[in-house]
Amino acid sequence: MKKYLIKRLLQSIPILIGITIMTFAIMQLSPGNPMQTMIDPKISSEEMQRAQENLGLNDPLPVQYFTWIKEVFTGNLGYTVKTGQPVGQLILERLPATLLLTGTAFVMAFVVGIPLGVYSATNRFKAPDYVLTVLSFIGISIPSFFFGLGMIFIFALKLGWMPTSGMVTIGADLTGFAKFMDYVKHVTMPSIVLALPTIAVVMRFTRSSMLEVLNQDFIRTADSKGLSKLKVNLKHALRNALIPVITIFGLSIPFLFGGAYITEHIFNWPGMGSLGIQSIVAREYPVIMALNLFTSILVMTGNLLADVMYAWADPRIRY
Amino acid sequence: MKKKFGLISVFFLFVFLFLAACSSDTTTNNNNNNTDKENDNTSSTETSKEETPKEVGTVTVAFNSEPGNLNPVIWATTSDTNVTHMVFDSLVIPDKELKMVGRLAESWEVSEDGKTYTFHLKKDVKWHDGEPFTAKDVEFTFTSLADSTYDAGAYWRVDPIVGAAEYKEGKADKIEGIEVVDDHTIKFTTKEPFAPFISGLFIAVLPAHILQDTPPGEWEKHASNRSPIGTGPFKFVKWESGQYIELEANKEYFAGAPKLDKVIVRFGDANTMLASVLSQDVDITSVPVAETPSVATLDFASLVNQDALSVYYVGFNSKNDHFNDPKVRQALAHAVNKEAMVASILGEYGEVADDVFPSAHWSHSPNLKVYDYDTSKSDALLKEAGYQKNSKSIYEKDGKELSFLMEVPTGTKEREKSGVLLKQMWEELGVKMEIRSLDFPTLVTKLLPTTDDGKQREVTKEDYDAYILGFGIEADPDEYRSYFGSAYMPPNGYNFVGYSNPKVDELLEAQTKEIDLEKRQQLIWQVGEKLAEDEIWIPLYEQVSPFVVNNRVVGFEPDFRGATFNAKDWSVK
Repeated sequence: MKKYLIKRLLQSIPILIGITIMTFAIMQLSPGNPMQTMIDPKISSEEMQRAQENLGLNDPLPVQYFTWIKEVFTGNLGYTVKTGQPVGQLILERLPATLLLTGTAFVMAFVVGIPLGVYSATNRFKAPDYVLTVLSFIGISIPSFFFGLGMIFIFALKLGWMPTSGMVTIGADLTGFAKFMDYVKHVTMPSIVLALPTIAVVMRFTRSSMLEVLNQDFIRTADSKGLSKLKVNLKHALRNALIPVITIFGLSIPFLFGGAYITEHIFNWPGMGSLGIQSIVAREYPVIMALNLFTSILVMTGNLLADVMYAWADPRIRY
Repeated sequence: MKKKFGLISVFFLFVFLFLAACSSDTTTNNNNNNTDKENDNTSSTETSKEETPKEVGTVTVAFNSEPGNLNPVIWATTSDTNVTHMVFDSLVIPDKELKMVGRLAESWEVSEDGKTYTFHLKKDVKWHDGEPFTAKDVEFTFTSLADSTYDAGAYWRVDPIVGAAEYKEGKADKIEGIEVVDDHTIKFTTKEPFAPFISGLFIAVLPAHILQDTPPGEWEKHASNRSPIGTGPFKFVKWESGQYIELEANKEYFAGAPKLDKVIVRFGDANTMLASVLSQDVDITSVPVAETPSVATLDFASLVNQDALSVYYVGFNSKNDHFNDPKVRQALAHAVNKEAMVASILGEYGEVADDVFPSAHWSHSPNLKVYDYDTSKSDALLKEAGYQKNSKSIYEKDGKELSFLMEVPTGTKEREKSGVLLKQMWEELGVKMEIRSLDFPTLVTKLLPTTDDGKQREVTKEDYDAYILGFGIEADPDEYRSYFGSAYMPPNGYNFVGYSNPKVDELLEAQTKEIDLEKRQQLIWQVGEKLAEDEIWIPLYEQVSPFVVNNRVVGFEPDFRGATFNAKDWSVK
């Protein structure tokens, strides 16, 4: 197991470098650079060109890339082009908000998804199963921006139960429990929007996995021993059915972080996603690169985590 | 089972506590409302002041993008100046008629030869940290703009000053043309009489005592770029990245303390911010014209328009085989039904434009050529230019169809719609037009093309055919020189349409030297008239930007200088 882990970690280094080269190339292929987003008739073009030159935007691309990767290895993610802020610090400022949002959504996805899946499987071909199936398809296919705006419209504007956006009530200076409740109020809608597709996926996965297990011999044995239906379902079936669901566990991490881009933008959530969207519009290369690096590390960690947990949950699997 | 019950009861306790907290809020508010009705206006403000202290004198204004730099001399964008206008003051400032008036300057004199400006500064002005403001700060600010390490887009302001170029190249240790006479007097001398110079001084004065030890090239990394100290009506309090910026009143402001205690600037997606206005978390935000009907009916908010002094226009690549003939451009202009366009996409939020200079500005000539909507004139002009309709009833010349690609930047719905309308109008005339939507930075790479090594190069006919953009005056019509002077074609400026007219060149240079405003106006009017004849731009419309404002805010008057310009005079009911 240890050997396997080391092997996987070493493998991830060339993969990460490959990813950064790809992102860098794709980013450079998109037309426009940070300076060109702010042309101004009063600024002479020599002045503009000099600024570009000094920022190194005119250097050959391989030079630009190697300058960047060299700095990354020393722990420096660079500075934003237009505001000179350290990118690492900028991301760290935004990280807690994103972790809070994706964390809530993550917990929600499994806490809601698994029971619904079990319920759906044990009631197969009955009304609740059909209802849940339809709902899960809606959940997977509804675009998050639409769902998000719909939620804002209904729960924030029409009913006034929820705040429209943001992470805290600005200017309220709350402390203790009131502050916590303020967070809860603000995080509810965005995390539901973010979790919905994952809830649906987890539910479908649990359902099919559960159905497979329910048809196996040891379940029939348990049934014939006279155990209660509840005990059979939860203790004997669910435990075995959860093994494939663990894969989703790992894979949903990058999915949630990706989904956070749109969700954060809609709900004005001050996390990395809204930072990412701003940076793409402004062609802030260093931020885009850093966010991409960060996301790729997350995806790889998620995959690795899924593999490791798989082995841990199923003693038959050994690496 | 007992355990479960315990958990559930705790949960319900939370819910009840939560609901109780909410409902008690509502009841206090109701009580307030009742007392308000009985009392007159002034005392009702006082009641609410006492009972809900957090609401007092705070206005929350929301914009669609987060500021980048709060140091106003570093690549200032609108989202930056929306904040910095409240924190900093400039030496001079345009008034409503766009004439320059003093802000930190009490008064100034211009010498007979038009080269020397002597500014008398206001006394008793203090920086937010208590340090006194003096002529040294002014000298420091404008000297820094010519520093060899500085390159953040404001050098042009000091370029006309004697010795600025030498200082920049390191040949002098100070700028010869900037002279501190005493603590409250400063003199600027320009190389030649330069009329737009004074409007170039419309930039925030920076605190020397904070920044003097840092080379200007490092200012963006300086702490004050994220927590500025100015002389303005509001002091910076804090910036929560991605959420908001908080400002508080500068009670000692030299022009009188602001009426508000606090201004909170929020930023976020346009729809979300609009929703926050509807839920009354935000007082002021901009509304896309298309969304105005949804807020026009609100009983607690009204619409206020900002005149942006800008004109939306079609620009043509004069290197294009069709557009190098002015007759073709004139023909196209005659085929645009601007009234119908404005009526269908802007309604009351727009006006037809015939001049490249905005109609509310003194540079707009009242007697320029207007292209009325008359396709028979277009047909005649195209025939004169040697075009014939072919079998598909499309105009062609020498076997080449009059067809082109129109680049329309995304971001403004109205602009995108105007592209579609133009296509319909011109196709009716017998011209083929394709639309390509692209984001602004991408369009810029076509207008200001670069070679493979990143250097700018000349525009060729392959780069683009035509585009739609908006252009606005910020402070001085001299800004048009870089767009129409033949010396300013890329890579030397922004004349990407490749317009060249010796008469216009002459006029554009002459107006910079004309200190007398009336005579200068005549020269600029002539520029506008010439441009209207050649029609290298077809002006389409002028658009105001509506803001939705909660009725509790009094005195919000956005104008071309920005939305937060008069924040000092805002108050709440």
